[in-house]
Amino acid sequence: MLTLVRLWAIFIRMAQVTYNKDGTPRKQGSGRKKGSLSLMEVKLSELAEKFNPNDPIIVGRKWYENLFKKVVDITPQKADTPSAASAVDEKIAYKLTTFK
Amino acid sequence: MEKPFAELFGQINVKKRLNFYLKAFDKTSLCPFLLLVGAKGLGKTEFARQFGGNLKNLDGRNRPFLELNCSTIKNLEGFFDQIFIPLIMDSEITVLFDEAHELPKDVTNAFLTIFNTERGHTRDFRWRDGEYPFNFKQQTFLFATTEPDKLFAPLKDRLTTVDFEDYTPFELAQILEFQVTGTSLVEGISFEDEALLELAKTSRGNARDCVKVAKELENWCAANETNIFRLKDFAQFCDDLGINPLGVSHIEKKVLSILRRDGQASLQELCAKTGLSRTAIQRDVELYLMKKSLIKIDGKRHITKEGSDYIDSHVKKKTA
Repeated sequence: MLTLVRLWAIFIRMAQVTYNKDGTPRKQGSGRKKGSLSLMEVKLSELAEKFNPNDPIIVGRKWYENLFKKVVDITPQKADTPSAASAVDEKIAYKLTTFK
Repeated sequence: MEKPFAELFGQINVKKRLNFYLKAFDKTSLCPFLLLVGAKGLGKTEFARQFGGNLKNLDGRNRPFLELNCSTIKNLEGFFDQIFIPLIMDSEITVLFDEAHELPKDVTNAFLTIFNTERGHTRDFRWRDGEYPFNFKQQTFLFATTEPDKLFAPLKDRLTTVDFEDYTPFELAQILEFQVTGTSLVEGISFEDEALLELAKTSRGNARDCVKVAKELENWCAANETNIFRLKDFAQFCDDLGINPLGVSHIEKKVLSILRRDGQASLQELCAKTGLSRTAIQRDVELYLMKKSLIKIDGKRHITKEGSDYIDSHVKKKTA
């Protein structure tokens, strides 16, 4: 009887497989655990004590858009780092000799 | 202690000047910013290396020698990040900027400020957010170039030029003999004087090429199981290795043969007959032939008596 229950549980899990955007199956256990929260409640007055009126603070984009009815277009910034090939090109050739 | 430059032949004037700077350095710990100028293969880097090897730190130890190829320095940031901070700053070191005419513009401009040392032997160079201290009692800077005309004139004004001269055939023979007898794989190779002189002439006045000829000669002697090189061996050596007397290249020999046959030719005619561009003929062919007095140019190209003799003795004899 117990084995049947286990088999059923495995079947249910298999049926619940979700997929990533690239089509690969999502790894088991990834994502937020049920009940865990990354956001919390805080009083505005508490924040006001810590910040000046012009200090930048980070908020959720969706929340901001809902509140101010504005769409914010944020394009991901390209990292300003040279490619591996150009980094090799820019290596300065030198030879250090120590005399005895 | 061994005399400086004892293992280097020729360049008497260069040796005198460098010895003078070494003596002055012993008393003052300062050396002017030297610019070694000369054609390729005359030994600029080797002289700089030996000069650096004779400079002592303030505690009496030998000073390390850093050799940079300027064509690989792309900008000032790279120079400070990769070279100055890790290797030069607060160290006692000699630095040679080889092929100095390849220095990028921003590095050249920075050097104009850094090497302006009329008020003392230290200089703090400020750039972006950093300050880079130079102490010319701790750091000696040397430059070498084959093309001094390409060096930014104000920078050249801050450097002290040391000119290298051509080697005489006798000096080239000494270099060749030293290379063969000093490092030879074959025990005790000896030469007939005339054979050594003829061999030296194939190096085109270039000490580096002498070292190459020495290596070829070692292999030739080993292959022929001989340790005496005579004048009669010279022709065979040249034939086996495709070397022409006086070190004339095959294309130079072709131009000489054309002029011997036709008497004279314009540059355009030589281009058509050899398939080379005007620049290639002017830069790579005519210069050496004129240096050896084998041709002369007065609008048209003419073969000289020496040139005719060369072709008659080395080409016609071979084909006969």
